Amino acid sequence: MSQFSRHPRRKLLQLGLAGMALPPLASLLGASKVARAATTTQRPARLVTIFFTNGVSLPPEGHQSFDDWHWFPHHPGPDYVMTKTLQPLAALRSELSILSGFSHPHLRSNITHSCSAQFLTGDDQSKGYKNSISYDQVFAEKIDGATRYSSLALSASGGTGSLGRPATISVNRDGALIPALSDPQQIFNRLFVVDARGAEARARAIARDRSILDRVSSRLSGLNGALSADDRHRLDAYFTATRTLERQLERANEWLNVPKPEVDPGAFDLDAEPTRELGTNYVRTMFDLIHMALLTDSTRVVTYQTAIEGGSGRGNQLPYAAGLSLHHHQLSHSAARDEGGWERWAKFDQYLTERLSEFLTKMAETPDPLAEGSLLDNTIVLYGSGTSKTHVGRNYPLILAGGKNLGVKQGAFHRFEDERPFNDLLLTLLQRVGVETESFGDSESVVDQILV
Amino acid sequence: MKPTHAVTLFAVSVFVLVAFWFPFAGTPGSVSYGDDAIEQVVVSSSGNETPRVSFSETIAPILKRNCSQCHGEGKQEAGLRFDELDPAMSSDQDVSVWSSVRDALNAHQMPPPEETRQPSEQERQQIVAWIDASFERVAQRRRANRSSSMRRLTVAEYEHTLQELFGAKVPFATNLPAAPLSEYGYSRDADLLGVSALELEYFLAIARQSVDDYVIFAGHIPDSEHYLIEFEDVEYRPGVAGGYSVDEPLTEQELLEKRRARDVGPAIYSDRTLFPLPDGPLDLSSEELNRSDRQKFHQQFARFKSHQLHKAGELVARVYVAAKLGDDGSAPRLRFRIGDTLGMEFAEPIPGECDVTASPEKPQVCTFRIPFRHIPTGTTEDEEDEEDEEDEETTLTLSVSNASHDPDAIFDVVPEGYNYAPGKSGLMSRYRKTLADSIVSKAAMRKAGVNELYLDAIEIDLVPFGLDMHARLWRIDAQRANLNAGADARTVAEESLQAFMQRAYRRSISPAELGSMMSLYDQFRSEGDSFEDALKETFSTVLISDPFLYVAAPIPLEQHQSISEEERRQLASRLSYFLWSGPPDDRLLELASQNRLSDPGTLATEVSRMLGDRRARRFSERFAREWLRLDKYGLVAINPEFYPHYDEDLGQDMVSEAITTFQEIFHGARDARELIASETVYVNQRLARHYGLPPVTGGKLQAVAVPDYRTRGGLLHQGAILTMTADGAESNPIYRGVWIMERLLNDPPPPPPPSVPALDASSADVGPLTLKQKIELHRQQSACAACHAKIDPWGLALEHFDAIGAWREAALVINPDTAARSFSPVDSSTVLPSGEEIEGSSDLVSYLVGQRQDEFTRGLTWHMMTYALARAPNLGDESELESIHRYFRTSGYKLPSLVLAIVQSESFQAVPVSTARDKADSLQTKNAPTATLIGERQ
Repeated sequence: MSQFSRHPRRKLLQLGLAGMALPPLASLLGASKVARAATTTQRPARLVTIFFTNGVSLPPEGHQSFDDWHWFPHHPGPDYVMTKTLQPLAALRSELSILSGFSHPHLRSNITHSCSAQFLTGDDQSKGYKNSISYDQVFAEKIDGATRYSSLALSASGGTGSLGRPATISVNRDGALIPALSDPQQIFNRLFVVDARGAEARARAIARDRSILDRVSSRLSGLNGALSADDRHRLDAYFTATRTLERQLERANEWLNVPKPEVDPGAFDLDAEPTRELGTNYVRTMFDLIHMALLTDSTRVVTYQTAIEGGSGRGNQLPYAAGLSLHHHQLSHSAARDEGGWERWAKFDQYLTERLSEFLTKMAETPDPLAEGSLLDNTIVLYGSGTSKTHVGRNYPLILAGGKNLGVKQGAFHRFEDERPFNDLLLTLLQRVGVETESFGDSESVVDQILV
Repeated sequence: MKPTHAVTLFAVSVFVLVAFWFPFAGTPGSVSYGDDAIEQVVVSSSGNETPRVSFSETIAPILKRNCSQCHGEGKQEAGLRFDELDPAMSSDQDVSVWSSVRDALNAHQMPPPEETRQPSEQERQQIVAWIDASFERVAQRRRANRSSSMRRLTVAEYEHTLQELFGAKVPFATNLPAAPLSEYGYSRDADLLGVSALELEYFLAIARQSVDDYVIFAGHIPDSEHYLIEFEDVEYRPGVAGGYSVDEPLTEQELLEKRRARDVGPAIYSDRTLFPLPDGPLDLSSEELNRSDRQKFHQQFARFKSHQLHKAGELVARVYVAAKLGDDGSAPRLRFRIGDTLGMEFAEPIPGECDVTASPEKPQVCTFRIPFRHIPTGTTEDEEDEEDEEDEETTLTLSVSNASHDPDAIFDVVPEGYNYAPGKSGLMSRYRKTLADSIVSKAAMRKAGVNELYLDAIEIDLVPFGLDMHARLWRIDAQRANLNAGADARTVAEESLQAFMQRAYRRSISPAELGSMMSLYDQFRSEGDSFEDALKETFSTVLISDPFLYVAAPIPLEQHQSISEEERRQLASRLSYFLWSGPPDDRLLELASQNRLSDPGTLATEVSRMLGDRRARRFSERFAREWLRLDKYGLVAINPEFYPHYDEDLGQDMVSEAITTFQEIFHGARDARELIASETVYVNQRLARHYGLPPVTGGKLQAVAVPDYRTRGGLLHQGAILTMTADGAESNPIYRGVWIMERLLNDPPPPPPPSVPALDASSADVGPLTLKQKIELHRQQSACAACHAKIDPWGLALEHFDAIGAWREAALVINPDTAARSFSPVDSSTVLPSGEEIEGSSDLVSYLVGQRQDEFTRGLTWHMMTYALARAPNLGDESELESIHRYFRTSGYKLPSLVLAIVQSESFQAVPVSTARDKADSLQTKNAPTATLIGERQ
């Protein structure tokens, strides 16, 4: 099955991509897929969004840690100097930009531990939970059918989490949170493992679901008589849902005959968990899986939430994996109080930046099998948090990487002074990946500074 | 009640605002009303035609002449534009805008008095009369449409319906995406409750899972597994995954022997007693100390292995424990948690709790019942992975702890129980070292008289279908079906399906409905499904069809004859989903099938029976949560720099307090005004401490009399309300003011105009000011003044309560950069919008019950009606709202009477206009107590 050699996990990591013989394209993508890709004229744009929690360390000016450990660089422009926090990204300078000044106008009040659910929508939740489609799903809808999975939502906790502490950043058109996957084995199985029951059984299961949906929607056709407008409206919604689901099943059916790409599970640490001991492996594995999902064109839209906001959830243990001895929420809240607290917190920011750097490096070193340039050149990666410091819902720390072939200009630190709506950036990125729209949520204008 | 009671109040404030904000007219703009102007026939309430008043000929020109300068194409003061207002008033939004127009004209607030252009008095009256006539027309239209109130079940209702269908208290709906609340805060909102493809997918998956679990074809039901773990036998093994010895199930014989052994001797306790959590923070001077992976004094673990976990069963745990009370009389509180995650990281613990007071000579038993499906599995379920469930083996970890909170308790730092990787050297030496420390700590706590929990033993039964399996488990006679695989199997299927559908649809079913499902069953059989698989799939289909998912899903006319009129209206479901948040029981279904439920006498009897049932507590809890907007509690992040003592437990207690208070007053049929002013509070050990009340023993909420109801007691003094209307660090008088106006006075303030920035309390320029000063600054900005003069005073009166509801004399201020702490004085004196000068919350409470009880009780009526109808009342419900409120008042504001009046209303019963009783509603004309009322309506 495998073209990869069965190196132990760690060794593979050291070897990096250079040590991994890439399997021939055909076996990765499936022959028909390559043909399909070759005939399409459009560039295969991809969009990866990574959300991390609880903000970043921003020591105040004059503090001893200010110069070295402030997440944001001190001077904007192409010649900006990365602080120690961002140093792991030094080699990738030309591939990325640092952005400051963005925030969602509706989410600037202090109620921020629920912010991940609105991070990619910007919806107002001052009157309680409410949501709308997230930008990644707008893109996923547009290219639906092009890949086996229209999108992939990942997080350390999985599921949707609670409304106060959401565990996913992807939201569907109805405003419902899209459950995220968290278990590397499960993610791998979904992407690359052929259903044990076989394609035929799977096809039967799909046909079965469609019969069931047919039956429940057929009941409605007998009701045309004395229906009030309101009831008709509500029944229509139900009817639409049955048809949408049927369409999705149809789509799944089409993909049944396209073999899944062959990928060696031995190349991934699929047992990793976001715990103290295995946390670093876990984050790496998640990034490796994202990389492989994109490389095999299994999906072009990925979101990944590294932890749940606040002090709960599995991802909060990650600072221990980074060698610190407080969990993330404690790190953030003791920064000002403890001697060396800002620096201690920044060490964790740096740790996360290292993981990002590993991922971006891999993306930059992988040639895109479907287009000119590297995988990174055709992928927009947005990395950020919904708070600057914990509990402060403005000036999101943001890194924008990749997308050079999609018209994104990289290589500078842009400081937007006047609380620019974050949806301006999301709109701009949507346009870059080819969604024809002039607005997204409460966006006001396109962010020209990052355009070629 | 004035017409459009709620919207009217809202509208008045809009217009006052406009008057303040935009006192000067703008430049003239052109106005066009287009070609779609409406000719209307005005119908008076008696049904006689009155002369036509043409909107386009009479009303529109007056509006154009006098109003369009500020509310037209060029300018849209207050967001209002007359040339775009719908004169047909198609939506509730239109009605509310026209209502505000009407009131502003009537009160001569508009056009602003200083404006030179004014309509004549006759013109004014013409518009008002036209609006009134239009309202009446809209009201009639609404009443005519009343029967159409099909709506989807809420997530909670859906879950309760499955629970009662299958007789299992299992969280069926945990994975369903959470649904947003309506703009008024309610989950029951017919317009909001749609079905998306994602939800439908979940509904199907949940249906299959539950049918698979609870529809039984086999005659044989597996035996229970039993465990008896003596805590003194629990071994800790450093380095072993999970840390603790693992117990295996006992045979009946072994269990008997172990029980016998327990009976003869005295209770032997574990050599560790469990101390409580501290109320305060740890000493954080040492990072080492703060590592939360330490085994603490208040926890003990035990592990055991099960083979049955993935079946639809129940875990029953009986924990034998005893107490040493603290010197302050405080009792330990046992918390029981279970999960199958390794070591100590419970992904999502499901705690049960129990106060412990028994002496060590005679231990007490605390029983906890947890459905297997409740037990967290640590990872998300993989629906595609169904292999070998039979042989699956799960190691469960249970944790018992002392959740009582004692100010004198100290944390211990023994690293036992931490799941170290094997082979880590140094572990044992550290273990011994901290063990020595722990002995010192223990001694210190004993000396301080801290309460202790003694652990004796735990008995666990894993019962395959739960203790209530006979309640409603669907058992299919598979044997009969198999004997003669052809015709008989189909008969068994049809009989089972009919019974299942009636229960699932909550009404009789028509032969056509049964036939349709049977044809699906036939199809499945023809595709090669076994009897069992085909029937299961058909059952699952029933559970995603619209008559199951919706209340009052329409039924084709030709099927009406087999379904009674009350069943078609789903009167039984309307009642049960209102009062039980769940499906109707047999009695309600039977009454509805005989069209006897709408009889007022029967209805009153049934309502009183239903309110006496424990399921009514679901209603009182849900209504309290949604009316008080307790959902917002979860959205507040408490800042530990300000409140190191705060934790999730305290938060839970606060929310429970708010709900319990409502429930006690509701179920006790007490005066609803006690919700605001009460001399009784419901607190436990730690809430009493948090509020500074005299000590209370135990973790259960109990009624405590407060000496002066004005400083504690009543909703305004409750931690949950005060916390969720703050921002986690500082109190926020604006949030608090808005909450009082919205929830208690039903007079929601308008949203801030788009051009005005929100108050930014964290902004640097206003940084050094106290919050009250910042708010005053905000109020001085002219654009904000008019509104905030009505909002802020309500909240300012509560300034003596901090952001987690504790009393304070000064407000803590922390510099975010330097962490420097300072205090600023608080001042709760204020002037209410009515001009009343008050000193603080006690005056506010007196004022609300004294001067505003009418608004409060009307507001409560409106809110409960909104909940009951699953929509906001509209013009068509006005007269009924009025009579319901009158009845409520006559009853002495007893909440059950309010419920009864709502249930008796035509709005609630969705009586179609053709069969509606005469408009001279007895509720409206007679202020009679229940018995008389029912008599008169008969």
